[in-house]
Amino acid sequence: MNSQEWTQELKTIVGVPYVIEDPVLLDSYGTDGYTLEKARPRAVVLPADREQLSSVIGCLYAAGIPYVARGAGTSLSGGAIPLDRAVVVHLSRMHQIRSVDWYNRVAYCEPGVVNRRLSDALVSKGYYYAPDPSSQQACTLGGNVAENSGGPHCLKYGVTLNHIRQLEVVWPYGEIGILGSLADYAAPVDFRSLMVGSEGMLGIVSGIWARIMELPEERATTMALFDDVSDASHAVSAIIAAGVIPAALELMDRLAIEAVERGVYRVGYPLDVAAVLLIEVDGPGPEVQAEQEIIADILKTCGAREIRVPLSSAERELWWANRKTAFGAMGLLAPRYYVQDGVIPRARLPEALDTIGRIAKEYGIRIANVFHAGDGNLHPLLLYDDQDEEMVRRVRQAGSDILRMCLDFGGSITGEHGVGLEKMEELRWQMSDAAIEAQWALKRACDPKQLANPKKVLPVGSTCVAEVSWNETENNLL
Amino acid sequence: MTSTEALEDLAREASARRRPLLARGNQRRSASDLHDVIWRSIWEEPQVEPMAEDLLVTASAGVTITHLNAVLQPYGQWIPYQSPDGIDDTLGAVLGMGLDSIWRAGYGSLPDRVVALKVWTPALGTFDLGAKVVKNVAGFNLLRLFLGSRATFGIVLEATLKVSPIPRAQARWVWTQTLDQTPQTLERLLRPGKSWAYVLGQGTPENYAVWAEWHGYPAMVEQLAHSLGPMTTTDLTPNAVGPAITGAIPRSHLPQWAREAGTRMLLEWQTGWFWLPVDDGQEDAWIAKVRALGGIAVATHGDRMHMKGVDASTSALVSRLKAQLDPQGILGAWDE
Repeated sequence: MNSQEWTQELKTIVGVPYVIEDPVLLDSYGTDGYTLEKARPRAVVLPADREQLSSVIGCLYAAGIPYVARGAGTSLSGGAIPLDRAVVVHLSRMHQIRSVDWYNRVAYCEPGVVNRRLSDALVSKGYYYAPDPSSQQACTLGGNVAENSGGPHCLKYGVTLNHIRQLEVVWPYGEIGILGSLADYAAPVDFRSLMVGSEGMLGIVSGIWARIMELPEERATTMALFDDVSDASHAVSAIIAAGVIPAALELMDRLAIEAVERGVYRVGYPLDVAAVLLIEVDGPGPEVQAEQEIIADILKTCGAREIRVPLSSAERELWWANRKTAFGAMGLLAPRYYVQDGVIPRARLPEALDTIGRIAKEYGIRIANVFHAGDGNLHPLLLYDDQDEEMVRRVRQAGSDILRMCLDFGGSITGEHGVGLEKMEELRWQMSDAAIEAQWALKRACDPKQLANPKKVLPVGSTCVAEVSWNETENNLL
Repeated sequence: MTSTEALEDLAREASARRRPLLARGNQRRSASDLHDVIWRSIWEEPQVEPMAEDLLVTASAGVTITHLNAVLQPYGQWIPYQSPDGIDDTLGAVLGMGLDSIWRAGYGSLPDRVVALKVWTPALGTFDLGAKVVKNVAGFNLLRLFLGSRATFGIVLEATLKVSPIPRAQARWVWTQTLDQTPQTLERLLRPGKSWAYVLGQGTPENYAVWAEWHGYPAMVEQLAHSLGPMTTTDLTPNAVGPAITGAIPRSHLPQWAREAGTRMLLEWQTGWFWLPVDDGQEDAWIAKVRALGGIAVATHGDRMHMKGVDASTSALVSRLKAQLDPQGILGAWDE
């Protein structure tokens, strides 16, 4: 099938307006939240439903054309960048919440549903969807499934994987399959769990049955201000070690505070404060009160300079809006920022923050820290000017050093942003050749022609050298 | 010689002779249990490495849950697993067979606790998956392939799991009522924002016992006692050891399933988790009934992975994976 034939077939399937070939428009699909790379797709196709999606994938499979699924394009690891001139399969037209099964506590959604929209649709009935990535105003459930996204409130309730009951998937050869069930139990071969976090490399999710939860009876948020970031991180470890698992436990350091206080959602932090901890507990009233007391005692013991509780729900919302817009607020400090994502054992937070400080000095860059402290998930924000090539080089190297540190501490190179295009080489640092080859085994079983999201996640292993050429990939980068 | 080296020797021999290799646990779940080539090989003591500050523990597959919890107890931590038939399972058996326990509602599922595995496969030898931290999305979620698949693709040698703090207070209530009254009882018990540790039911439709246990803080237990009346100290009676199936049913089908499955079934009403003793050889028939209700079930004994009724596409995927990870087919068994 030549290029004209398969594009014509795509137009027949989805309609002419929904196949984009204009180079200017194509370039807008060339990147995502990972701004260090971009590539132009050969086309963009927008299916309206699972039948069209299945036909589109069947057509591309028959023609041997690579493709990449795209939600809102908020991936921070380059997951949606179309390498190999892949066709972008944009799922924005599949954005319906199809039904809510209140008895089984499951919402059946198309992949293009925006994360926040699901909770907004449920709140009047007293329910919500727990995973809340900071990009939840824009990111889609399909993208969340692909990346196994987390968020501030995943400490207690788990990440996306823990909230997906069943998936409908279009396999790379165009067939539609159902993975999992509405029952809360894993199948003997748990393809549902394998699909979550597979970064669009094993198939494209066309339907999601997401677990919904009742809003807690009570919710209590505490803010603690510290003069020393090390004291704040000790407090994090102490809270967890005391057996309290808050719903959220977030930390911002001085530079991050400077940024958010310049943003829209100003809290009014004292400018000389070194760190802010936001701690939220929820549940039945007596349990919430008991946990709040334990947390307050720990915060005092760990040297908190000030402990605040919100005077209204509006104030609580302001605190969270301030925290969740922290990444964007970095734009007020520098022309660009590079978000890193690594995980360390919680108990090593103080050492990790010291090391990041040393790395910032060594490379002569500013690094802000805004992160999910409760689960050891660091998000150093490396500020830079993209007009300064030398600075870009230093930022890349500093990011790499931070990931080395995470692994040296026994952690991981990514907690929630995924490997994507960004961390393929670093995956080698974390995994043995055998472990990577086992991952390739899964990839080959699901996607024999290796068309789904090519040249992502898995570095080329010893048995796969012939299959992927890095030079070819680099040539495709604009 | 380490246990892993011993396993690799066994595997080489099995491969050369083209004979199956079975991983065995403590052999309490019939003659062909999983996963304790490691401990039973006696070259090593059972290994448990608590990471108390991080609420994690790493243990070798042959460690029993009782032993694991005894090591964790001084740290005020535990792995909430208790088999209804009273068998003290090895960690490898629980994970490899895809079992779960009565604590599922209050503490989440056992697979969700697993953050890292050391596995052995015939094609690739020994390797680590996941990371010993509470959050990690590096690469595919491949460790899930080895949970519940009964050593079909590889043998679990070691696992790192999230542990839970031992609750500061716990209390149990029991009521006897009719089966039809149970959904209303459940509605009365549920508290938004936190599940009960369990709400279990068992008995005849006319004489149906409901046990509810709360784990949390003393103030909450006091409040519950005020509204629910006196607590009980009666323990759950373990089911007899023998063939059974376990799994979960969607909540919407629970009353129907409770009637259909009969009086021996232990049913957790918040999650739909159940444990159902069945007659020997009847596992497949009961698993099919569960699937017909939209649920998932596995046998609690034996090393065979029950795949009957699975669609052709999934079955083909399993075969392709098996061909890559165990090309000579020396591990496990499943009905194609």
